[in-house]
Amino acid sequence: MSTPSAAISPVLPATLQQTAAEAARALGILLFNTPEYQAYRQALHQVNRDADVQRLLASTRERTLALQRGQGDALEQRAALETLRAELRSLPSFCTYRQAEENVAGLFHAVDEAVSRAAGVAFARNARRSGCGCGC
Amino acid sequence: MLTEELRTTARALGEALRCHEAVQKYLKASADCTADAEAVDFEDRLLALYAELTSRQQRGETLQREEIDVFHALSRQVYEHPRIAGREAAATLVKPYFAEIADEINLQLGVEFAALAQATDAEERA
Repeated sequence: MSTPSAAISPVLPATLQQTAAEAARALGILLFNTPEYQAYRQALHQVNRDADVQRLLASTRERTLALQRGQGDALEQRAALETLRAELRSLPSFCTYRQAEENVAGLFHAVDEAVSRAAGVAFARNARRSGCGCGC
Repeated sequence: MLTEELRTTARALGEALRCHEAVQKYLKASADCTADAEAVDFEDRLLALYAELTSRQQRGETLQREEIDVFHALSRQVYEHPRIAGREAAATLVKPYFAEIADEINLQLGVEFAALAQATDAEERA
């Protein structure tokens, strides 16, 4: 982000600014308590504790990085990546995680659409700080 | 899919965002841009050229240097157009404000709301 947030301090009354922050906090609490988000948290906890999933994810990241850096034979790297992904998809905890994530992403997407429609500007697309959803 | 409570809270957030000065400026700049026939034509031409060049590249075709130069020249024309430049400048003020507000949601969740709302691949995220 190139523009510091200090450059856009609102000229509207502070109470109005609070309203957006308060609505966002209320939305966060509501989302946290949805069955979709709780199932996602549970599934994430499980995959983080699953040694097979972690091993396969580490290998996937390693291969992806090698491919991006142009290391080794690209066709071989892609084939190896496909094998790793197939192995991942065969693990029950990863399947559960994927399903839970799909559900929570669908919910968040619907919420984002509602926010964006009212705002007149796409919210999530303009609010992203990183390319990753895990907060790392 | 959304409960009434979620729908109402999401709408309240959207309406509060819309009132912010940065969003108002962006909406005005965006409307000015859409109303400018030359700006619309520039953007349409750039998008069409981009689609054509990337599609040919994806088919394995090597693009000529001149074609790439034409694309860059058109890009410059587009981004130097006062209406388009005004809209892009206004957009850069919306982003940090939205990110700041999204952080309020993220704090409650412990994950990045915006990234999940636009999620594509679980294997990259786990």
